[in-house]
Amino acid sequence: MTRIEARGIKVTYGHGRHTVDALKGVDIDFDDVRSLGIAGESGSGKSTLAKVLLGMVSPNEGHVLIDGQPMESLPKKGPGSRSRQVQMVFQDPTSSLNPRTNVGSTLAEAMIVNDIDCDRSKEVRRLLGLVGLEDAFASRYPYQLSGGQKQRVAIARALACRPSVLVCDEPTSALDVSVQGAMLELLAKVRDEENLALAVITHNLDVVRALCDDVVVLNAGDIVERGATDGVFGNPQHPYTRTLLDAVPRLRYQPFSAQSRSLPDALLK
Amino acid sequence: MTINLQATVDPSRTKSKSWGSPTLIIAVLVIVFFVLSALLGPWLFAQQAGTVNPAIGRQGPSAAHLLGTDQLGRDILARTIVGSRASLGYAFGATALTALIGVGLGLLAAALGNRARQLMFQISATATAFPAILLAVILATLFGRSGTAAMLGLAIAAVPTTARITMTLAVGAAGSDQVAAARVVGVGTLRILLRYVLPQISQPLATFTILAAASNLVALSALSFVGLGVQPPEWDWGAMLNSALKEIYTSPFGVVGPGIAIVLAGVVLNIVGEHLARLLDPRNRGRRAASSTPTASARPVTDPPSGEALRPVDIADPVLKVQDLRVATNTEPHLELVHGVEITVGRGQRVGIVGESGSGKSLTLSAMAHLMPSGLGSTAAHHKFNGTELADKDARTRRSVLGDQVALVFQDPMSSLNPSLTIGSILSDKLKAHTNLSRSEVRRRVIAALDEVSIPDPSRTVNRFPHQLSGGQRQRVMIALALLGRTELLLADEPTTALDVSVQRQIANLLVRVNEERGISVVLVSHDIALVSEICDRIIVMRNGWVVEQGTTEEVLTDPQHPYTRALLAALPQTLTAVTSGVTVDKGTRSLA
Repeated sequence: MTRIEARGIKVTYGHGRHTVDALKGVDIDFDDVRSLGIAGESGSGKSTLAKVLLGMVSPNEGHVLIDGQPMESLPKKGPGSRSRQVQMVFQDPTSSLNPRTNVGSTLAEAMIVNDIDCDRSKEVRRLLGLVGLEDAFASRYPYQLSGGQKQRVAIARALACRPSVLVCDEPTSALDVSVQGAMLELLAKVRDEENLALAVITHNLDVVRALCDDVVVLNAGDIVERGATDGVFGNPQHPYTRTLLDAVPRLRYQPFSAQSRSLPDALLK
Repeated sequence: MTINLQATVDPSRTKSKSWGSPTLIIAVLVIVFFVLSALLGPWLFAQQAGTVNPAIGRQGPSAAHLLGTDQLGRDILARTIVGSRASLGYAFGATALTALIGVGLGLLAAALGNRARQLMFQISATATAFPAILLAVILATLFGRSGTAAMLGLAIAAVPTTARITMTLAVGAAGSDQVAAARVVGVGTLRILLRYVLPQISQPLATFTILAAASNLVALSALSFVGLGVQPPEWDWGAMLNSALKEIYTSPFGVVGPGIAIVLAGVVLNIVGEHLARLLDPRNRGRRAASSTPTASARPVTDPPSGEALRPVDIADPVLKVQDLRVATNTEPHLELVHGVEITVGRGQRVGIVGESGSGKSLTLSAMAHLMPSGLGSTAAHHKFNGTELADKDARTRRSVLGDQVALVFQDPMSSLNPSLTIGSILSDKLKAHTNLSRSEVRRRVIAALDEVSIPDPSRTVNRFPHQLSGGQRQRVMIALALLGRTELLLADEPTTALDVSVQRQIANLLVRVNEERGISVVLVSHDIALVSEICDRIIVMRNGWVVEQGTTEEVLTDPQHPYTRALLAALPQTLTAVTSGVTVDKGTRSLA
């Protein structure tokens, strides 16, 4: 059981007259049973919230507790350290992978710096298998991979640290439409198989619907609505939530019959 | 470290371009020659270079002495070769020392906190303001007039510049996603600097260092020339020039050897420095520099895909009709990226082109406006715009027709609006180019156009600059540009992709409104089939440079023929297609007004 609680998070950027309140006292919690979607547009403070959850930004007020323990008190190295507990998947796998390091070394590095004791090449194969890549990918370089494959590697790297918490920042936004669905399925699979407490930060409400049990809607540093995903999206209370839901483009016609929806995956490299 | 390129690199694309230029090969050979002479010269030619024989002094070139002799009868060629050790050694020594200290300080700045970094920037800025060569002269004098003193002087004098460049580059690299990702994984600072930051900045730094070595060589020669560098009995090229110049009226050949050596070494180092960045990029070893060319699949596909679903298009009076439109690279091997597509846009229609990255959808759109990215060219059997056949016209005619009547909206409005012009002047430039209206009339029309695209307070917005507007407002300005002049066709490439969802909706609505109220035909390129289905009457599906399916929106959505279209629709999240209880969205008759 892993539980993350963020209490009264306030973050202010700049100083003097030019201060911007990125987060104005935000409370969230999620755990390995109920995953959380953090929905908002640019300027909502969602990326700042991600950095706070990862300990990359210290809030001006409030604190993050991991299983009741304040994040600042986590050891710097070894088991129980921040990087062993909380991991992240970035939006753009192309820029978040080191282009000069092959996949195997990228994964091994995460194990080495976190002092994870294991047979590394075996663990690399296990992780690749977990994210649906063949063993041969270990010797490939990022530029030899498609966007979806790179994002799988990025997920594998996060999992190599054996985290209990995974934060995803727009995990599908940089990917082609035809691989977005597969990426959501993969994230749901690793969440369940690795018992992860999952938080997904996104502007894309369909990503929230696919992955998250609960959702908070963030607007200009404040949570304007929160609750179970079905409830919030089925019966939105706040006008901003309604605007967001209404803004999602929808197919103008009911597409072709449902039974033929399961199509050859071979087409979707 | 070997890089396995077999996996994805097509052999036809692996052109060994890395050593392409003969200039570079010659430059490298000359450098190898210089390095060899610096290493072996003193050992092989010390005898000839040192033997004093005043009887044969001040001679011109001869078989025995190819570059003649100096005033003491020593062979100038031998002395030039032997002197290369001092010249190159001190120059490279100074460069290496500068690089070590400068890069070290620069990386340190990237690792430090904000305040310490600001301080380092201030210090280096102040230090850079002091002329480096003057500092080098002062230091070389202080250190006591020797080759080593000159080297140290030059090295220290160049540190601020190198440190500043490294700092700027490293701070930028430290802000990259890959560094953030490494930090999250728990990679330590030192390792981040060496494995993530340094490799990112190594290319510009290597180029800079080689160019610095060339200027150090000249500077050292100058110091020796004025007597501050290498002292007798040692000599370098600068010292040789110094002694030869005193006798230039009696034996002019004395300056030729060292003079040529200094110039040649300087030139070849500069040539190599300029090519180095390209050579160092690992991606260039196997792949062409694909990052700069658009992202269409460069596979040499020649066979059309099976099972195309090209429903017959019967449009009597199309505003645009292109047939057999092809886009290919201009350079060998000619890779075809768009393989002969046919697109018809009816007057007043809204046509969507849907595809993923690499489908060629954006290239097709650019080709329709005859705006090809550099390195690419397009051909078409027919390119009929508004009744005029453009395929057989020259580029100028095409441009004047299309420039007046076709408007473009791109994904990133910031990059398509001149940042140094106000919104008002950007818009009025278009009117002035095509009309002879008075100033007040131009202003009136510009404000009316901004008002029409729902820009708040248009009479104030005309005085603003693009960066003062939000992304959605900038996109509105792009659409306002289309409203000025005689626009018949609006080509929009992912116009909403960079915007927030709620703004996307507004821009989509605006496109529809412009089409309905002004009768401007719209071609919308997007990866988002749902968005396209909301806006467009007809949908064209592209994949790998081919049109695989086209038809009315209803036909394509409800009765997709091509497996790829089916797959695209199937990949959409279920929620997009299912009615969500409680949300008042009626998908069938959804109004966009």
